Amino acid sequence: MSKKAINKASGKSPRLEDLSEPVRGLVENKRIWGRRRVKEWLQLLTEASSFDVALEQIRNRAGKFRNLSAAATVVLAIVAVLVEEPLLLWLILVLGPLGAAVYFGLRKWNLDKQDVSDDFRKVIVPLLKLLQEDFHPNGQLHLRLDIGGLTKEKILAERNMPPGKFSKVVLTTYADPWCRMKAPLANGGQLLLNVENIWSRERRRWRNTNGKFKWKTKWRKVVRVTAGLIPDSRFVFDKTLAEAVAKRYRAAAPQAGEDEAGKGTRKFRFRMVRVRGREIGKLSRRFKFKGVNEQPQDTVTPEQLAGMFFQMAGMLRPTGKRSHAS
Amino acid sequence: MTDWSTGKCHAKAGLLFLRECGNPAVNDCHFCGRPICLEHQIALPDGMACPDCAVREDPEGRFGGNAADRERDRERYYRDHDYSPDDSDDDDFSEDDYRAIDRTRSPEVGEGGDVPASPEKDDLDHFMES
Repeated sequence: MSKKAINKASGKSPRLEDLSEPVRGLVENKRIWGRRRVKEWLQLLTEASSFDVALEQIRNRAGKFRNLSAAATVVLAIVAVLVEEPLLLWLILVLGPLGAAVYFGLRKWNLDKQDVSDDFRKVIVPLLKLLQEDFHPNGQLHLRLDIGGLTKEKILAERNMPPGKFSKVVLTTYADPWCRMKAPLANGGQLLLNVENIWSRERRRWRNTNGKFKWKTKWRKVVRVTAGLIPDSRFVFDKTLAEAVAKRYRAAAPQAGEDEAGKGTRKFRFRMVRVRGREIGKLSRRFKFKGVNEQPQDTVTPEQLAGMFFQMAGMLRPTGKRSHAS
Repeated sequence: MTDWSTGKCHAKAGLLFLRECGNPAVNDCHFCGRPICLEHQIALPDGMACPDCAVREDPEGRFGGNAADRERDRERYYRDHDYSPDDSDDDDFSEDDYRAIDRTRSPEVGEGGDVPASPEKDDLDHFMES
């Protein structure tokens, strides 16, 4: 029976020591960069994903037990006071659940320190699996990942806003560029990808009718994706088509009804850029998400990212052929 | 007519750009005779099938596995994104293409510490700044 299976059966938290060296480094430092084959990246990130999923389950369970124990402590303390039992019984009744609450609280606090952002396992791992056969099997995929989530270092700006009807409004903006990828394709081309989360947290303070100060937090998350495609030398971008797409996107407004669907609104931008003599299609999109009191957990889907590459690949035509439109 | 006597797998590979797999073939498809590798062979009750035939013969997806799922996903993606890839078997890449791939040197991997803002300013940095 493997260590993982034993841990699962006994409900023990997965241990960092059981992880392979690079995955342990990734979980401890919450970032990784380098060049590896796509299969090696997949192996590494899948192991990190499994660890994160297992850890999340244990953390959630610890959180539930902590809350239950805390609630039981309060209820039993009230009961103990009401029935005026001897001190020993009172101690057993109250200190038992109080101890459990402290134990589970500390356990969750410890596990929280190992928590990493879910984006890499929700977005990058499935995307790599999806495009696995497109990547060059022996090509070195260049990846830079930061899975630390929101930290103080990522605060871009924090300022007091005009309060209006509230007594205080504080707006904090975070910039989290968490993924950069350059991948050689099996056909000789290359894919480029940059994903950045821009978070804004608005904390509003007001006084309720009882005179107490209350806080409400609103979160907004904008996922900025920039995808690039360098075609192999047998293909070029159809300029007429590319210009038509670029023009259409310049005029496009956010799609109606998407907010209601909870999927966020989208904004597009497409243009051709030239880097080191090679023409690159550059497609940018923004995905917006909102949350009240809690950070929105939604993010861009791997299908949406693949769709961006489909869109650019659809603009290619073989070298030497005439434009679609001409 | 495609030459299937090369001993290589002729199943379709890729999503953005289709090509032939090219791995050593271990079997022939029971339905179309196409040589297929271990990764692309799908066991159906009648015999081994290539992903194309497996999806056609088993539309409900009772058999198969990753290769058949990939084939179904591929069709769904192409339909959803109104995309038709260039289905070229031509493996004639230019020197430029190979240089683009080979330029990535031996593994240069880091875990933790500070990610240098620009370990070396590469195409990706230029691309993002452009």
